Amino acid sequence: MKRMLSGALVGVALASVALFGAAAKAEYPERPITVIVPWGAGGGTDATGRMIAKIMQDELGVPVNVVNRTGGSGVVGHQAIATAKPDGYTIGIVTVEIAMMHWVGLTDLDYTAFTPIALYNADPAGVSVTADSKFTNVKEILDAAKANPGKMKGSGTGQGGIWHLALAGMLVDAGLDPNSVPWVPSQGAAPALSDLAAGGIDVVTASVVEARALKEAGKVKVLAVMADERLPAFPDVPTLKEAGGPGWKTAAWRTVSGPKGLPKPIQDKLGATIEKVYNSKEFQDFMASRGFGLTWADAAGLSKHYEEADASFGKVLKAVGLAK
Amino acid sequence: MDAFLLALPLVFQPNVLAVMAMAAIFGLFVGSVPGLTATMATALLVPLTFFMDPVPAIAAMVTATAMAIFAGDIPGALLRVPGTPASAAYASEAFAMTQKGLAERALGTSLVGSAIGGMFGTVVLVLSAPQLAEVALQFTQFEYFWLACLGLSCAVFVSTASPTKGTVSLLIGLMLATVGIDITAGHPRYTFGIPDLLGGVAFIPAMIGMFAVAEILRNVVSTRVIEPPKLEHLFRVFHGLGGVFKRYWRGLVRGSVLGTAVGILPGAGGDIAAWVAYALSKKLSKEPEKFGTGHVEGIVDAGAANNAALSGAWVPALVFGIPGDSITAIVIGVLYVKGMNPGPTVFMQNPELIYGVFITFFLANIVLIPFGFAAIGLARHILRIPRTIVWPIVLLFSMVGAYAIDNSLFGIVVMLSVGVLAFLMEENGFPVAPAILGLVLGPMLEGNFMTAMIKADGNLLGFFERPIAAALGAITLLLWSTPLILMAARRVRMHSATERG
Amino acid sequence: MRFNDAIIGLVLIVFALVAGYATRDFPQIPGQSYGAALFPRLLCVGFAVCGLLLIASGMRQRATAGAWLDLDDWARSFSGPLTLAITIGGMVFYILVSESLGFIPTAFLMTASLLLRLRGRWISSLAIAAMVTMVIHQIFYKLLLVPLPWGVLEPLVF
Repeated sequence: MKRMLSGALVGVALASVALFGAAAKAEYPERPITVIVPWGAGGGTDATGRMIAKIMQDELGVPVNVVNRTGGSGVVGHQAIATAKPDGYTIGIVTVEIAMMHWVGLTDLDYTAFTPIALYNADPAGVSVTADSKFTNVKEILDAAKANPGKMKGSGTGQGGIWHLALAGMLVDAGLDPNSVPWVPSQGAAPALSDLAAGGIDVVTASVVEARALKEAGKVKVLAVMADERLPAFPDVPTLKEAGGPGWKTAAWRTVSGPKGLPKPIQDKLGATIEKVYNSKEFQDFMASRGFGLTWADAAGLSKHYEEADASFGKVLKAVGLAK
Repeated sequence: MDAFLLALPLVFQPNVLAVMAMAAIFGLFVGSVPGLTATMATALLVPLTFFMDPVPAIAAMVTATAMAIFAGDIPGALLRVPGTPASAAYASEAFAMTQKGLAERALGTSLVGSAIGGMFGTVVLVLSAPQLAEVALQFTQFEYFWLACLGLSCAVFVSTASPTKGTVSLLIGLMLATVGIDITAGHPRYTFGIPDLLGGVAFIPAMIGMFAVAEILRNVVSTRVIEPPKLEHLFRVFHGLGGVFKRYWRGLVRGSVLGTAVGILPGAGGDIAAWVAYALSKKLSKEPEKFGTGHVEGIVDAGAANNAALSGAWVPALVFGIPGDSITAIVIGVLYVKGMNPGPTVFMQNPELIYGVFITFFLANIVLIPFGFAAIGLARHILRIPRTIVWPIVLLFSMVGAYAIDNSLFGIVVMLSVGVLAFLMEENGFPVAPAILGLVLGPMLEGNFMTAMIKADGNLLGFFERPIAAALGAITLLLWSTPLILMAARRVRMHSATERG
Repeated sequence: MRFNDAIIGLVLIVFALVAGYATRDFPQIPGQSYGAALFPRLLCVGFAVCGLLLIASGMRQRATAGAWLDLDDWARSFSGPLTLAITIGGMVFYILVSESLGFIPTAFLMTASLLLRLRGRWISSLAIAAMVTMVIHQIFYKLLLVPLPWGVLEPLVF
């Protein structure tokens, strides 16, 4: 009898575990999740987004689909993430532009429209010059800019783009006029770097990773990285401070975020999942092979990161005169 | 040579060949559907290549794009709706041939021309990749500005209507290109507060609008019964091609060389190559008056040029990681994933992989002939279907294609607006081709001019200070002033003749 | 639907004035004396010049025989403009409701109405529209992973 009772108890316990387990599974996620990427298929953000979606799918057991919502210089896609239903079935990859766009008046959207989940990537800006340039460190560049304002030209992206702010912020931090090295706008890092190699401009402040191919080809030299520490992949590139510059730092970063008002349990569940994705060998290998910088911050860390980056870009954009 | 031998077994494997065959069918389909471009075919292949080895991954992309660029000619010739932008330059010409009952000649010429052009581009890629990339790397905004000017001159040559109306069309294209954020000032222009317009008028939906929607509108309202094309010889695609290529072999060589060169230049791809080749063919032809009436000569040049550009674009992509066009921009990303980091070192570290890629280029251009032939044979059935059924289907395809570029309904809005505009333009004798050219070249022209002026501190002489820029500038100015000089010379001659008389 | 060149010329000049006026608050490039307005203004000058040339040629046309508006056969008839309205209206309908109604119903309605207008046979038109809609949906949604909206069908799928 006793045996039977205990047997029955075990049975009930098992059944309830199974039942609650099932109930928990029915909670979230129970249908496919959509990851909105605000940039085009084939680009860097798209590649990382697709890799995250693929590993998430294995972790969560539901399909995770990537949708590219491009156009409008990223505004359209970010808006699509922000205005999605905050039920955890639509999240997105939010990129550094979110901390810049609203300052120049392109949109009212800023980081407060999102629920932070995790920061997974940051690529710091570099300071690149041609291989046969007379400059050997950043201090010499700053001195030259001070002596002959307007003579040297910088490039790396469009007017008011991330790498423009990297250069302007460095100049402001060093006590110079941000326009003492005029910005030559370009359609991105690649044309600016090839222009640098062709001798058309003097300094490019695109990310160190973007400069890698030309660095390895011996066409350009990277004098510094705008970060607190050297990059593991580029141990020979000193930090800005080591190269005689100010302590300024800038990076292009990517995060996983959801629309504002995501329930806390879903935010936590997604945060834990992304952390597993981030720590998986597959993801680490992928990021290393593409040369993407790995940086981790959880929801709380990302929230702080958003705030800091937003304030720092606002300061520089006002200094260059682009903020509205 | 050792690397070449090592590469052979990497390519000639059942799974690699199967991947190439599937990619070929995929490319033919995507290319022949108006609105789906070779670039899109590549982008759609990216997620699949994550699960492949390097050689089949790259082989899939090479094959799909080569097929897509050719397949774009099929709806261009049969319906006057180019399947990809690279076919837009000579779609009207090929369609005029179809109306004369020469559809098989038009498609056969473009098929064989495509294969030969692609093969030529590949040979150049294999033999001279490093040296040529060095030259392209010397180009700055000054040089690109002159290149864009040269491109604009094509608009004048390709347009058959009145010069004023051709110019208006070009201006419309250039004006549409100013919409969106101006990268030199970081300021949105003519966006009316619509976020979707910040990135500019999307090119693909605009092209679908100009060619597909305008064509559909023209056809559905037409009270005329369109004479169905004469098709009795459509299975004789290769008939009489020997004569065509014997007669126009210069054009074939010219198109191949030009296409490869344009492809190597960063940012300019198969579409621009085809425009320039077609215009040059007309300029140098003994019978320029036949162009636009269903004359095969321009198709020889341009058909070879767009496929040659496809191979040429890989030169800067492989050697310096700088994309030669939008397709190689995507490919570079895949190369990184596969551990074949573009740059001179890849030729030393993984030579067998690079040679494997080269072999797939040759293979892709060889199988282009049988696959293309089969595709033409299938396309024949499109023409058997009554037009009243074809147009609604093409319309739905075009709409989904315009949507798929950005996954946004705004693409369809752009397509419809530009389509109605193009319909009205053609009704009133304004050619649409210069508008498309303006839309492509507008950002290149303005962006390079502005940045060059910033660099030269507003000094216009800067455009002639660098040797290549000076040469290109001289060619451009010469080209523009030639008609004036000729006119003046004719006047002088006539004048002296009358004096003597 | 051929307008006299002079009318088009006038439209171009008005457009040039409006577009040119809109450039007044385009900013200059920092440190330069010109900026985002330069290129559009040059284009507006081009539009205005072409507009004047067209007015001149339009007046010449008018002097010989031309009318202000020359309607083609299709535009004179009742059926031509109706078909045009159905085609363009179908696209506008798709833009407005496809997100909420879903791709399959919207595309079916649009294609069916155009087929019906062009062919006039009910059963075959509806059958073709249904088939085409499903084939395109399969190709783009399944094969090419284009996220076509499900709309009202969403509860049936998930």
